Amino acid sequence: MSARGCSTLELMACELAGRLRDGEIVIIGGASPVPMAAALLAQLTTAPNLTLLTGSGAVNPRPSHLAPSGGDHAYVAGAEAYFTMEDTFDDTERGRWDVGIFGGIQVDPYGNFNLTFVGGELGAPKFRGPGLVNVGLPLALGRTMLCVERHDPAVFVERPSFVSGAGRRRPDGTPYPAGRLGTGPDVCVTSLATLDFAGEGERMAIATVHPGVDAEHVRAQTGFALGGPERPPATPAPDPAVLEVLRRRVDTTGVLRAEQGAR
Amino acid sequence: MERRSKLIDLRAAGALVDDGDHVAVGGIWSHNGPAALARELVRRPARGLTLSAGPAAGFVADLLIAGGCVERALLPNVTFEHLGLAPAFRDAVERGRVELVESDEATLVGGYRAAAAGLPYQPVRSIAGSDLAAARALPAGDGDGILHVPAVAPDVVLLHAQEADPYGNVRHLGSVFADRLMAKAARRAVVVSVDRVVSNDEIRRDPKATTIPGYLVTHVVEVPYGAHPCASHGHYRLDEEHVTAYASAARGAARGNGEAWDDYRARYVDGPSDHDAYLEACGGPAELARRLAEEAVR
Repeated sequence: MSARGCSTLELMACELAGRLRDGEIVIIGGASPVPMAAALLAQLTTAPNLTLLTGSGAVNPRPSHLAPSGGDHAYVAGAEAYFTMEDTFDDTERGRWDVGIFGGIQVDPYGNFNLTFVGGELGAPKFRGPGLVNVGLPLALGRTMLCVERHDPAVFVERPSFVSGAGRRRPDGTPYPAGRLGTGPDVCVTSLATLDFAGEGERMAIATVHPGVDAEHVRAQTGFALGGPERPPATPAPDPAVLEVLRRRVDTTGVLRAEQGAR
Repeated sequence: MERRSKLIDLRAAGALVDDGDHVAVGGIWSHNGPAALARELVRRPARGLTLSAGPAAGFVADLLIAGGCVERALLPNVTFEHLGLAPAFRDAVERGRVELVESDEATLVGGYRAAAAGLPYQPVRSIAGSDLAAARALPAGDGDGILHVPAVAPDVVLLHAQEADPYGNVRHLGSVFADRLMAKAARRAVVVSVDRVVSNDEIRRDPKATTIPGYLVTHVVEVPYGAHPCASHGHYRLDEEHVTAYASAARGAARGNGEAWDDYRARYVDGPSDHDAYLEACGGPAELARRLAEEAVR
């Protein structure tokens, strides 16, 4: 905590917030307190014209606290409007939304993410995950960002058991259909580092390592070779003024402040 | 001749579902879930159901699976979110006890849409090239990357909202999710549990507040705390304590220790003679109000 002046989850929220652009439409799903905090923080700092859509069907919510469930009424009360699943359907097919933030139980070098199953096969999985509600979004959104709180070789794998949400290319490196509306992920923020897709053939690479984390550790915790500089720069610590906004106006109950075990 | 009331009791509502029916449950995750209606199906118990949701599911879907009611499921996402994985769903899929038809928003909401309009399929583009589209082997339509998703028409749709009048005019005090669309997609019955019934005059005072018009609803059941332990937006929050206790019992059953699950069932599903008795088993309405009442909307 001392090296950064904030918790890992707060750092991750700030990393994502700084990458949401003014004027974009962002969709945040369920059980995503870090992405939700990032979007709310961006609206209060660098992106006042960001439109935030939540899994609760709320447009531009103004929650009194960071509720852990994306469907929570905290996001419903005081919103500007509600949208329905029919709006989601139309907007997905048309590709109206700009960006979404996703996580995975497996993530591959192209940013394909798996929330569906691990091991065995689809009809008979060893482990069944929660699944992805909207498979079309990672293909149809202009771009996505990945947010992964657990950075280890079981999560970051060369070949996932299943692709729930599309990355920049298919797991075998071939392109997705030409009709695809979006690019896939442009960043992957984890508990250890901020990764981009500047590696060879759009593969994942280290952009920055979080303060106090060794680049070798990041590589060791990743189940495939990461591109990027041998000695990547450190992720900048959040601006104290931004951190103040995060704590006073977004995460008022300190959900993100509770430090996780360093991984 | 008088206008017909659509009010029925929980028992009668449960009896509207036949074994083998396709049942769809509304709300999202564990918010606005028709939990009292689901408990009635588990108590009965209903068998051989096909289950879908709106489309993200939580407690209610898991309970129906834990209760052995579900044979086939079109559920893209079942999760207790911050409270963990949905234990019965996970176990049933891993053991092949429920046939899971891989689904997502496009196949399910698109499918409801087609059914709502009485059409055989909905063209979609967004999922072309996905593992899902490959797994479902969806037929190609005209034009590049267009796929046809088949209509999804539930026999019975079960919803929970905060208010309705006796004629089925429904008010959600928050978000509507896919509830209205699912009501339109239903084949036979649309049953809405509400925390309270209001008068038709009250509905007429603010028609803009009506979220589902009565002609789409076949039955209304007045069940205070009818979504419990799910949240009912505008009235009460998710009962995390109860859901956590349920999850632990259902996880135990999945690992071969059925005792906690038997206790849960006896205490909350089979034991209580009616919904009032269920609420007493949960501490009573006053205690639930103290623990779960939402702060007033700012």
